[in-house]
Amino acid sequence: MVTGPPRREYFPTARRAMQGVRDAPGNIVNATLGYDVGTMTHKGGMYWVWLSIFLCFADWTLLGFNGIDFRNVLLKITNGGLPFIIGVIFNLIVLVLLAFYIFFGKHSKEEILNFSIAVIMTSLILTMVNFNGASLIHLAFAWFMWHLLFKEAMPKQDANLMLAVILFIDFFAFSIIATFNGASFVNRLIIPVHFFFSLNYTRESAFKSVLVAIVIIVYLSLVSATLYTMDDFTEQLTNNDKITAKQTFMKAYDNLVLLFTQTKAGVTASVNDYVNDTKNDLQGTSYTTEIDAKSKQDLGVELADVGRDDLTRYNTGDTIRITGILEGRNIDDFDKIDVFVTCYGRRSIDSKNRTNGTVLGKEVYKISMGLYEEQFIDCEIKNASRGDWTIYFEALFNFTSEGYLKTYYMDKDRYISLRSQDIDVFENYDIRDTRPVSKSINGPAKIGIVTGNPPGLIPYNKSETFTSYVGVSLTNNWNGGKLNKVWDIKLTIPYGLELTNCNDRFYNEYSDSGLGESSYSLMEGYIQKTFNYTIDDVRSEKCSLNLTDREELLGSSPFSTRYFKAESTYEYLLKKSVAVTVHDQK
Amino acid sequence: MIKNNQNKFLYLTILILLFGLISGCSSDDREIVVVDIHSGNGKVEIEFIENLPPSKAYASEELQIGFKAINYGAYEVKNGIISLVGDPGYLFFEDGLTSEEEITDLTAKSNYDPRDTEQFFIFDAKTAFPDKGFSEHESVLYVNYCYDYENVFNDQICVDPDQYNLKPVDNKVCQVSESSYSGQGGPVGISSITPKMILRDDDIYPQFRIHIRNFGTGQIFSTGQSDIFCGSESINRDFMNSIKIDKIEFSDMTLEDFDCFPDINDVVIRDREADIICTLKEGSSKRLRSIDEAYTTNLNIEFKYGYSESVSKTITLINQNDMIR
Repeated sequence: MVTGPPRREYFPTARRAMQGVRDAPGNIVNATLGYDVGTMTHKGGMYWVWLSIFLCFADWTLLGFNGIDFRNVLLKITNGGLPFIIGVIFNLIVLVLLAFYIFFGKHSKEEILNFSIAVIMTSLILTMVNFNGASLIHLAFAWFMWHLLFKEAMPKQDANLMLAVILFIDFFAFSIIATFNGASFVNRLIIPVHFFFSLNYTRESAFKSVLVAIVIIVYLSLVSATLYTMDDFTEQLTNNDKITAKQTFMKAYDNLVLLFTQTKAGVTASVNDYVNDTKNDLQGTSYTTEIDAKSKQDLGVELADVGRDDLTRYNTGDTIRITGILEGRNIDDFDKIDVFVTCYGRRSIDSKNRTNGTVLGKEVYKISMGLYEEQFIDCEIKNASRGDWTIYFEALFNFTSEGYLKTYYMDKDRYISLRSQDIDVFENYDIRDTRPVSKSINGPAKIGIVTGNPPGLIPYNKSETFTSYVGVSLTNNWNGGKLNKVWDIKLTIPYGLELTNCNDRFYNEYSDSGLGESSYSLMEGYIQKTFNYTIDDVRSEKCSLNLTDREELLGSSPFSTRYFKAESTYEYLLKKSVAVTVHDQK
Repeated sequence: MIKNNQNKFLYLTILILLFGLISGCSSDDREIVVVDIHSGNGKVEIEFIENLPPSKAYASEELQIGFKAINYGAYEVKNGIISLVGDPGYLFFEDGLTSEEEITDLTAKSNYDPRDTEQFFIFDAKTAFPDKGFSEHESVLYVNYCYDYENVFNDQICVDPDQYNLKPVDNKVCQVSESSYSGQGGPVGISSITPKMILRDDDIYPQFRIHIRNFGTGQIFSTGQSDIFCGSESINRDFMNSIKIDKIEFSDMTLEDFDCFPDINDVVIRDREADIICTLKEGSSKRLRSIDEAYTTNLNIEFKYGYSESVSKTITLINQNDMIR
């Protein structure tokens, strides 16, 4: 008979099981699966289960995390070099810190040992492999579990052990199994370790019971289906039994696999589409370009002299008044720029909420700016409440940027003949600009163009392939603004070349031998498809080039100078702000 | 009396004329300089006439491009072509992006008139500025010129039956030795001759190693190919860096009397240099009789080649729209 308050002793699993059997035979289940209610402190909330499921889903779709190949760690150690030395230094620092923890803290031996294993494993993960974002998320997840779940649910030494175990399984175990040709069904998606740990250490609830039951059914059907394919069992069952059972479980297994496959394929395809679209089409590479430095000033629209109209002190209920000058710096006076001006304010303590202001009596003010025009703008925010405000002026306008890239072409045989005599073709033809870079106008966004290194070599024989490419990028050029939307990109290439593998993006507007150029524009459908995506700083397109007319491209000189040109019309958002403090009315 | 006076006046006039004549014939200390026209590495060069074209121009401006081709070398320019290449969209000619003319007036120098010859060229060009958002554009004008040229080499070569001094003789007239040269008035010339007198059965068979060098930076090609080299057509590699030896004369020997390697009709210049070894044919009736004393005789070598070079000039095109901003 046990008397007195509940015991607070902790026993490792085996000892605890024995203790449980001794104390009360019915406790053995609790003892082996978790902690006796009497000895347990706090268990975690169900949100840990959801977080684990989310992590598993993220691995499946976005992160693609599959642990760390321990062979890479060994390779890094054997290869040595600077990264290895940095890793060693980092690990030494960790060891020193660990030594402080051991010598200056009051911890049990078991606690120290388990914690040391977890820390050293973390340090190795951080330094001895190619660490990436997915690894960081998994590492952080494990440590959060340790801090917020394990430490609350069990004594420290066991929490430390759990951390070490979860790190080992998550980062190394699956890759070790895969390396040694382990069973294909033992992978992180079929055995989601975080999910199991979370489920085990969350508080008891009806939902948890349902979840546990589902997990048991799914895994039993999986295991059964797998076992029934093994020959060892065949002798103990009749043929009919075998066929029926096998068909039943195989059907269950097939259904599960089908469900997994279809879900994964669907999710992967949509995620890939999204990632490809955003990375390749809407983001992309910003190609090197030189801004037309000799242009007198920036082209486009400028918000100048934005500030308070006076130095009066604003009190609660006052109208905040901000003024500025809108300057039009268009290319010429014929194409006016329509500028939509808005203003609004945000309070620092309530920065998510926006208070719209009025510009010269309207919420949105449209101004047509010509060459060298300027317009006074005035913003009012009425009935201001107390606090620190940031008042914004925004000018939204469409603009067209232009850019070009010079390059050279020459007959391939002629080039080979010169090079075989060790003659530098550029020197031979007195070409001083040997590596031209693209040039762009000095507008809100700059155009960059890239093609193969000059000179482009044109084969005489049509059977010889000509391979080249052209890329165009549109990059934000101003600090105070944002490239909002791209309406069109027009690419003009030398006559004699054509764009290939870009039929879904560009269409040929015209090819004119008289002008010596072929022009392409973005397809309407492609613009629509990408219209609503936000562009941060750069958008680029790249296409292959095909040779269509050798003579036109080369002209009648030993080498030819040719230009790639591009222009893009886009929507640009220019923003300027000013800080204002509204005081309490006294 | 009148007649006497007339005679006196006549004698006086003659005396004055004689005095003047004698005074005019007084000696001058200046030396008469004999110019060796077949020396150095002169070639055809292009010099732009100042401000043609100007270094800056505006859009839609009509320009004149002027330059002179100067023949600093010693030989006549044949089959010469000047080809101008504009800047597509920015700088062009009446004929389009390129314009071509022949070089006709660059004659050879002579000892009577060793002056450089010149030919002037004027081309009409027009500018455009299609990029309205830019302030300026650097347009490059290229001038490619191709022509046939020749080289004449003349020097005294020693014929010594005892080239290795097996029978030492006092006061030998000459010694067989390698001679170096810095060119014969063209960009491609003979830079050294290494003679060798091969003694066979008391007969002397002269052998010459001729070292040819491209002293300039231009490109060598076979004669008669100027239109191809200044055009865009593919070049037959056989025509590249190839020269043809037309004449070798030594004593009474001519080209036909020598066996040369490589073939004199296709001497290929590699890394700007080539060697040709020519030996008097075995058993030739023109072999030299072995004599006791050394003597010198003239060696004359002539060859032809095509030569091509390019020059460029940058014109800054200014966008008028930008000026008023």
